[in-house]
Amino acid sequence: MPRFFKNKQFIMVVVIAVALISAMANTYGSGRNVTIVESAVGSIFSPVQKVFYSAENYISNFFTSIKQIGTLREKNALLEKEVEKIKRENIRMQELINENNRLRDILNFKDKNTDLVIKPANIISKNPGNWFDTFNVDIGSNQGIKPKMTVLDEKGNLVGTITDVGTNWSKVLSIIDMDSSISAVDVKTRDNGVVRGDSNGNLKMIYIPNDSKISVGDIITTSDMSVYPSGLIIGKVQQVKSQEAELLKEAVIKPEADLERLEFVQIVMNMKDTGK
Amino acid sequence: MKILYKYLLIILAIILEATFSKFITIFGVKPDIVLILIICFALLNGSTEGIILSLFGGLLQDILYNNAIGVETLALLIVCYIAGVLSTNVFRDNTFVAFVFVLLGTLLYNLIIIFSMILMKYDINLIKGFLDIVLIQAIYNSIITIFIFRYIVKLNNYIKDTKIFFFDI
Repeated sequence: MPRFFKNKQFIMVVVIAVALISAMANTYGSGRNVTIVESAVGSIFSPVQKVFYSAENYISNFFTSIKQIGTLREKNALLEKEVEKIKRENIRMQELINENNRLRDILNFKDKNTDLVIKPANIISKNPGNWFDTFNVDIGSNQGIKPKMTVLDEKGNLVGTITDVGTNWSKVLSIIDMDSSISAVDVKTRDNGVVRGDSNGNLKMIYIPNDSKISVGDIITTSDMSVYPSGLIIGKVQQVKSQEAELLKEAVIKPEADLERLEFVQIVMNMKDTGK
Repeated sequence: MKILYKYLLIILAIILEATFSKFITIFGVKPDIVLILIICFALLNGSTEGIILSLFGGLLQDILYNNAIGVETLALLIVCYIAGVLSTNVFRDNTFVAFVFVLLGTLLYNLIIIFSMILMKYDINLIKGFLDIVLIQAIYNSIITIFIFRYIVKLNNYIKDTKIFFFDI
């Protein structure tokens, strides 16, 4: 028997390592309520983190506003023009929505997207490591949050999904994490595919059929088949790669939500009925 | 109660890393101050302290931020145990020694994390991840070590307590 098997400390490390690996196997995968100990740890930490995170935002806002002073006038003029244009479009859109609703009523469709119940939340900290893209928000099971709820940014773009829920804090897995995968659809061409996280802040849409006419600039939304409510905007196509050998296309997608500068998120309270 | 300072320092490092992350990235990579601290303490005080501090810091980070509990703790534990065992054969309070320990420790730490991610069937590009994240973080971490190691040695001399827990066993 080799000498290091008689070393008590080495045996202890091996035992702890085995325990940790089994903990990993048990806790991996999203959608669980955290244990009492974890919940307590989070409850102690989240108020402190909230203070630090808002201080961080305050400081970075101060510096960015100094940087932007020079370009503000041009930007303002541009934005005013934009507002005029959008106002006009909005009126037209309203008419289309009314017409759509009438047609929907006729067809007896139940529209799930217009009646989303939404709860706002603040981000309190982000994963300090480089490998995983998760962050914590300041509401939890006290406010009725459950695992697998959908998280949107303030404009309504898809940000991620709730994985673990404590009493007053919860973990969110963002869509750019390598572990996330979403069933998605191209709005224009109706091509279905799966959107996955990439390690460098972009998204990858895979399993697109080779004969599809997907092109740069197309908008990608969640499809009816995904666990998220359908029709949420994920991002825009930035690049299309076709792989001749695999008879499938692949697209690089830029997320519409600004995941680097998120401060507030909205959590969709109604879960999709999966029939379970 | 001086022993508390060590743990409080680790907690403070975790909170600062998680909240002020925007200001400390270089090429999109964050340094791991908790890893630096724990490797340095393991180097100065031996493997038992390495094991205990890595369990403390690792579990705290895993519970608060990570998807599977144990990913970071396992990597930290292995790295700090090895650092503690090897530390008996080197000059412990030499900055260059700490530099080498942190450089190699960060590489090993990230390789173990990548390995456990492969076991969990993450879709990961090995070479790109290694060049983009691991190498930069290893260099970043070891440069930080050059500047802060003497203060860690000072704190360690100030604490100089045989206890490694908060309480007596």
